[in-house]
Amino acid sequence: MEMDFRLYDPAIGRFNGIDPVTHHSQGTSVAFDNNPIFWADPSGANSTAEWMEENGITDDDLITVYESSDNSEGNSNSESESNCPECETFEDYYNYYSSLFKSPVAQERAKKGLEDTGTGALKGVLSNFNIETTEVTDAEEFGFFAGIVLFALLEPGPGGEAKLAKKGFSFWSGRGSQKAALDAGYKVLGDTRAGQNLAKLTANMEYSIGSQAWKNWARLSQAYARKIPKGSSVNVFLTRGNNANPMSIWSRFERPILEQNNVKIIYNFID
Amino acid sequence: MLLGNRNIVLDSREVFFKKIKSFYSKKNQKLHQKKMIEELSVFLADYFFKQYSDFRVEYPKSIKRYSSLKLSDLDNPFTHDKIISFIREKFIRDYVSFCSLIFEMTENDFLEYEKSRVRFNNW
Repeated sequence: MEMDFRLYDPAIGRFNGIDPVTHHSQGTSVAFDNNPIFWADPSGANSTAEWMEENGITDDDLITVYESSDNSEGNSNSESESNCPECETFEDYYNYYSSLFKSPVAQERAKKGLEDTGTGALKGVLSNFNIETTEVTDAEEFGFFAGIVLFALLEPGPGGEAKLAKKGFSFWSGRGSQKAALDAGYKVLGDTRAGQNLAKLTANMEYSIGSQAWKNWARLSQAYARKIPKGSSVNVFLTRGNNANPMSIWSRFERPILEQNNVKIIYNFID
Repeated sequence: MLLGNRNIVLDSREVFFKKIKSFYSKKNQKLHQKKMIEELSVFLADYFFKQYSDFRVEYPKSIKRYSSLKLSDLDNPFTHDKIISFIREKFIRDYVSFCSLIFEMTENDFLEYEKSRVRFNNW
């Protein structure tokens, strides 16, 4: 990708040359001031936050998103430097990250997610019955309708059998999402041989963000995400809290790899 | 080697079922739970038969390993999850005593184990 001052290769996520504007506190190979979530670099010269002005976003709107993404970098093991120092159990982290939706930016993101869910989920469901989707007029209403259709179909039958046709691999993240994926007839990481071996290995280990088990699963999840063919589509079952949580394996490892490989992500939010 | 493996046939669902049933029947001797063990064995036999069939295609070098059921596969935490959710749905009242017997744990240990699995699955 050609920019004004240097070339950027999106495939490897790096610039080909050194930074023409040198910051004395950082090396010349550094891009986006080591914080690509907050800073943009449209010219290739210097990191800017002009995108905030363009979208009418102030610092107050961004504070929760910026703080969480900034602190999460490299501090995953340290509880004292965590985004949520009071959080101890998974419940605490879940409630904390769910509360991020209170900020306007996150609300916007959630709304967008709802629209994606609606179209994606309904298309996925209808494709099983060879029904074509009709024109969408009101995205929110459509999303709500799709949610009802999805949950009606995901509900297990009397024999505990899922009513959706059996499909390929899927991803999950968040409370009850793995069960939703399995009930819908999709395969998950635990269905693979490597997943089962790791499950056995980490059976007696503690599951918490930043723990050794978390790191092992993160590593395997990356390999699993890379296995999805480029340009294909994949279903994801997740909660909105984990979608926004920058420390979830989905947000931190799996989604970036899938996006980089141009995999079409079909979101199925279960909450 | 690979050509030789092609002649190794996968056991039938029936053989899977009998193996699983005898494995769990030894652990759980309660008469009133016999029917439940049968139902569970049918469910697991079907699950493992499908899984072994898939793995034989995915890992051709391991056809021999996936020709007959290995009982150690029943001790996998992912299989435990399947068993717990199956038993909970079918056998609401006594699922703790049933699962603690077949997992060879005390009831308290089982409840702790279940919590840890829920924590993992809610990740």
